[in-house]
Amino acid sequence: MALMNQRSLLVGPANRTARAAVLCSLCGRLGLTAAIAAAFLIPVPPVQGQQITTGINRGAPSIRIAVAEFPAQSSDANLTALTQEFNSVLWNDLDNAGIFELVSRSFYPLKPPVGPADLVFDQWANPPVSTQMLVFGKTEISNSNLVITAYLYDVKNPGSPSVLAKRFVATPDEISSRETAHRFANEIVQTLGGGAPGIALTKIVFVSNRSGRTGRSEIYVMDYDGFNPHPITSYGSLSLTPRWSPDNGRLAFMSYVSGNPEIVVYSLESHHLLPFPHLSGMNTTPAWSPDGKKLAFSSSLGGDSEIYVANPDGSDLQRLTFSPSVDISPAWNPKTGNEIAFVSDRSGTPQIYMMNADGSNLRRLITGGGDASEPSWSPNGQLMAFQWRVSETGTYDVYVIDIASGQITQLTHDAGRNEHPTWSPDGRHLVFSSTRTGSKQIWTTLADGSNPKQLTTQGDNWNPNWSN
Amino acid sequence: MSTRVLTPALPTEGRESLRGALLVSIGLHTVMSALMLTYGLLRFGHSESWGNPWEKGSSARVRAVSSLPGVPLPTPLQVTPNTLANESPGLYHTEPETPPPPERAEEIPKFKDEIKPNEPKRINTRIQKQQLTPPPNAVPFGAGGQPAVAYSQFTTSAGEAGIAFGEGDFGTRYGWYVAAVRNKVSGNWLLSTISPNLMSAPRVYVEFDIQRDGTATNIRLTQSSGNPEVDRSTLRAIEASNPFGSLPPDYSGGKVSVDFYFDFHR
Repeated sequence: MALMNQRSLLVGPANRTARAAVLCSLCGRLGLTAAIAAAFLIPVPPVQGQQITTGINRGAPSIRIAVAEFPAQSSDANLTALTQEFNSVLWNDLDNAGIFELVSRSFYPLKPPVGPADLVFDQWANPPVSTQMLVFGKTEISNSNLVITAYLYDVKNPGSPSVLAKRFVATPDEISSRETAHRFANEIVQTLGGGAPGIALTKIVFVSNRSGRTGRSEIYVMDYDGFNPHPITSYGSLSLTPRWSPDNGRLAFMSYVSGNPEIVVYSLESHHLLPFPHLSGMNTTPAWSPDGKKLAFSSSLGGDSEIYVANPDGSDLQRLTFSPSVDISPAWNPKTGNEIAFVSDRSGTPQIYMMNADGSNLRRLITGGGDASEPSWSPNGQLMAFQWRVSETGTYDVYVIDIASGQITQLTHDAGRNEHPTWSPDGRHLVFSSTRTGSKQIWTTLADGSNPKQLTTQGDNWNPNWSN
Repeated sequence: MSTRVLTPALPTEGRESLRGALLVSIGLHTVMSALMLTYGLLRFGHSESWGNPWEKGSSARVRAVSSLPGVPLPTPLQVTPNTLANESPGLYHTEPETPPPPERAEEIPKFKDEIKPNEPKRINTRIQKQQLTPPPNAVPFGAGGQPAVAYSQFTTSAGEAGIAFGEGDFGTRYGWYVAAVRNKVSGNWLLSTISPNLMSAPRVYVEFDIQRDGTATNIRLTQSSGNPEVDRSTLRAIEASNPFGSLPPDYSGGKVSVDFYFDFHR
């Protein structure tokens, strides 16, 4: 009778589900070998286009992931320090990625697995950890190299759990250890995030006056998590609005280094300035076209500030805007390269306008009044982040507009003055400057406004731009 | 016949004089206006005038919702009061605990000429006594985890969608890959591409192949919803998600064919 019951239950749409669930529970109990045996005993029929209607309205959930501490395989003091660095960087990278829900380490089994042989699926797949994915591995010193073996396992699917298995060989120092962690985090994000590369190896360029001289500022670069900020320029002058070229090989910014506010193109490969003509008047806010072959900027060459486009060496200069008002802060659509957003005060206050890359089809983007500036396109060209002061008495906050629908979302509020938003290359993060701690500092946030993180503490820092 | 203008003869004798009342009224009105003017000047003297650029227009609507369509981030979970909508849906619910009966049940009042129903006759006592034992493959409620099935279902801002991966066991072996594809398409299916007066549409089926390097090829509509806007939006969702991640390295095939369905509703 019991058998009959079972059989009748196995007919119908829940059939596969039930069988898979049995399989899962079996595997959980008996481990990997049992799972394989079970898979042979119960032949799974080829999957037809079956569907279940669960009625769950669940959006796209975050992936639950556990990151076990990688144990050092010898008690070498140097290795212990490097392992600690690796573990914390890997955790932070995955936490910052935005697509994961990290399971707190306090739930983990006391002894982390070193290799796939020690992995007990039950311990991780069941409460309290209940994780979907598990990151584990080990670190060791071999031939005076730092060797890190790292795995990403789908512990809810013991039948074929291995998703990633990597072996990194690096020089045993802090920088390499961090880079290895960044690399592995990028692999995980790319694998589980649907193919979009991770941003753990990207950098952020910004402007800082930390050298202490008032009215002076230099261009600085740091890792995306705020590590290792170091100056690019030491002109003892005022340098502003740095922008990465799409190939990350050059920086364009505005500088008073020659006395006049001019556009400067700096090569990060040769660490020298590339030739760019000295234009008269105020030249500022350079912006690269997505193919890196054009540079748009604002110049008061002809009397008042207008948007110009030129080659990166300054040749083939073309004027795009013709208005007696100030036109500044151009930004190319990074997806198509066919549109340029810019800021103009032709209506009285600074407002964001859009035009085609040849200057035609001019239209106003933000119609809500106030004072909107600093446009920055998301990498997919669908959204634009900008700073907006809605009322005269208010303060600047970061907003995002969905360009197709005109829907505006406020990302920051009640936290000082928030300015200069620019996007990360994965489209999941924004970097901006904020005065919420009292001084102007660089912050990053997820593009939905959650998870704000402060990156800088020293001096005043502003005008951040994320590398590509 | 001569016309005669009829002037109504008003009684002048019995009329009250309005002079006093008029003066009082004018006086009061003047005081009132003066008060209003001074109040206005005091209260709003420094406010902005109409039509200045700081006035917020009615066309900009700002929302403070944490989900942005088009940003490849997980959307917040929406919990619906559905029996299966729990964190870890099992296939069988455990019997909910019945509340204990009250200490003293209230007795049903007896009637004088009470008709007792006939005792039902048991025909087969064996069947009646058969205990319903849970099948051995029953998964206790909350302990099942996500069922590994060919189609997985998800909801985006634009509606529900489902996905099936090829023939064979790709979906069960590489659940993480299916989830990644699903999440990516889910984030790229935009409500804004469908006209707002459309509330729902029949299911759209889209098929495509994912090549080894992750590029989606051969994207085609296999069943239209009948509404070209919805059809286009689903194709755009796939196109915008292209390329996906490269196929799992231990998967032997060169490509995977994906059967995707979209249920549009607002």
